[in-house]
Amino acid sequence: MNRRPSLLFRLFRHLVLMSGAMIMLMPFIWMLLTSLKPPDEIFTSELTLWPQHWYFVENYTEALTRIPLMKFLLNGIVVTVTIFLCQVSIAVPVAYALAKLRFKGKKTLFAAVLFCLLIPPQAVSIPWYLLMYQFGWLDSYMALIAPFSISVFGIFLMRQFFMTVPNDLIYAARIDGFSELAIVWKVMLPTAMPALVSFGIFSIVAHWNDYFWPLIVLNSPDYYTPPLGLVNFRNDDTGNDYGPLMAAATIVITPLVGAFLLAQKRFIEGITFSGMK
Amino acid sequence: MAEIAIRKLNKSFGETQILDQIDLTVRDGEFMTLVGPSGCGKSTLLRIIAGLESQTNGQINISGQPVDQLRPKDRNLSMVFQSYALYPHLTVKENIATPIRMRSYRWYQRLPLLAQLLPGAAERQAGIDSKVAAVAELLQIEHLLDRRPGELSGGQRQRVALGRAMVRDPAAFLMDEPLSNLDAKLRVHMRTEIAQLHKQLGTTFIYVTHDQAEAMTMSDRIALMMDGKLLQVATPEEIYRNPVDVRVAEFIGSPKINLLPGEVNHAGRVVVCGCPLRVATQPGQTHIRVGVRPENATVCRVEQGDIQGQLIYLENMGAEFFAHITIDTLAEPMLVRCDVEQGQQLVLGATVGIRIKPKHTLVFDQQGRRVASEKVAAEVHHESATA
Repeated sequence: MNRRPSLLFRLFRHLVLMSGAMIMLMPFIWMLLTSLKPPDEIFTSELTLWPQHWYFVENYTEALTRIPLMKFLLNGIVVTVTIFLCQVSIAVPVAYALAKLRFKGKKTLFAAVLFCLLIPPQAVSIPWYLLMYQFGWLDSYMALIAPFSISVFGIFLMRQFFMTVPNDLIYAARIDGFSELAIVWKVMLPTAMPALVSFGIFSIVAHWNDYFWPLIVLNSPDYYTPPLGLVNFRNDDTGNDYGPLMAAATIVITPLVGAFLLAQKRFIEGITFSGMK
Repeated sequence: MAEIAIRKLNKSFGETQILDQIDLTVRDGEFMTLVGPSGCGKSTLLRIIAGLESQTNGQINISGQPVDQLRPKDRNLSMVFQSYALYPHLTVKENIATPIRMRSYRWYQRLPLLAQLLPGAAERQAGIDSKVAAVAELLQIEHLLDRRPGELSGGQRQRVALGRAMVRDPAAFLMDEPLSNLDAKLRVHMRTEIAQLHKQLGTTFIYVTHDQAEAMTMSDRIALMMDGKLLQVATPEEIYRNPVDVRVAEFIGSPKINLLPGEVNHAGRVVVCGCPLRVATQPGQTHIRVGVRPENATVCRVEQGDIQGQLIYLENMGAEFFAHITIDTLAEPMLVRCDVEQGQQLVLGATVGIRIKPKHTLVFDQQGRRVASEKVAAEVHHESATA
């Protein structure tokens, strides 16, 4: 049926794709290379890709010592992991109920979920700030976690996945003696692993990189998340210190890149095949 | 081991009546098949018996105990589904063990890690293992125990689903079209296996299917449903020979029964296409339908036939032939079975006679209900010219 395209076309196709990939990757590569350069090379007028003098040790030591970067990373892990666990523990049962149980007001409830998807997070940030203030949670982990503990997107994503799980599987579980909660956690969740992994990546990336909300609710550097920590290198009186800044940025994104590579296979499955059994 | 009695069961979704006054008793150890076209409510009935859906009103008793208020797991039934419904993340062994683990363990005995430290854990595990092994041996799936459902073929998954249902000696097995996802050859094979399994276990089976051949070959009794009503409950033999309704006659039997429009003359003789048959019934009925199964008619010479028509097609089945014969006033051709010798001699396009066996002719009234009919004595046949 399909003839194999000619060599020329295949070469062309790969060139186009590769140049696209290069454009996407360029900022990352630039960040990596800058983190290896001494200050005078960073500020030269001509563009040099490869550093002439390696400044790796100096930049990275500076990044790790000038600010308590390890503490910020730890804060980031505590916050993102707690947010993710909260989101899962709420989204999965809710999604199960919306997808598989029969009750009055189900359609209205799902419409409400869809409606919440449309609300931009910035629009509710002031009410949330006031709420956090009322609770006395400002400048704490609670302020970082509470507003994100329910993910409407997570509910929606899991609900769509659960819709594809055949009813017979739930019937079988009920006959076998699973309680409804056991069905949620022991039958539905394991079948929904691909969807859960993709949701996990979305959630963790979003909250790891979040700059806006932590900036609003935090004062003391004790609770700083990594993106806030990075700012220390910019606001210094000495001016911008790009070498250590880029080194710190590299350190901050490393866990994400690592997690993505580990989950990559399942992540892509989750996006493209989540509708198929 | 249980008798399942269903009394005056109704189910409706809003205005739509899904099940209408179902009364059915499944005897202890019986293989009962619920059969009917899709959408007739048979699967709904099965799910109501299992407790997965609730009835609008009516009662279900299992072994004399009302179960209407019981949850599915407390009814002690097990079920096999059309899509097998195996737990995709568990191995075959874990799948089969799940019903015992969930039923006979307390919640703390099912905790991961900790459970193994509790007293008696090893014995409990050994008990489960031996039960799983026994079931696996019976179904010949020992070599599959460590695989996951995704790695199995349809037939293998079906066996695992059976194993999961069998492992804990339920009061009855409910099966919801368990063979319809298999290919034709395997389906015929699994039919025999399930029937044999029923003999070995001696447990009550309720089996739902839309395939009349499955119903005919496997069951002790068949309950035929249509449009939410139970039309007839009888043995396969009885339901084939003595259908109480024209819809039953049409549904059971392959190829389908021939239905010929007719009337009854003043003498009580059944007349089809202007030709009187050797069948008598109550006089005074117009618009009756006469059911003749293909094997209850023979192709013969024109002058010997009850009616005549033109042979338009011969279906060669190998061991037999089916002759398609058009009759002038009828829209559909009539199907008549003939043996191989006769079939080979028939010529397409020829005008042939059809002789109908009066003893096996079924007469249905205008509403489709069966009416009594009998064979007219041979001597009356000769006088029939005046009729």
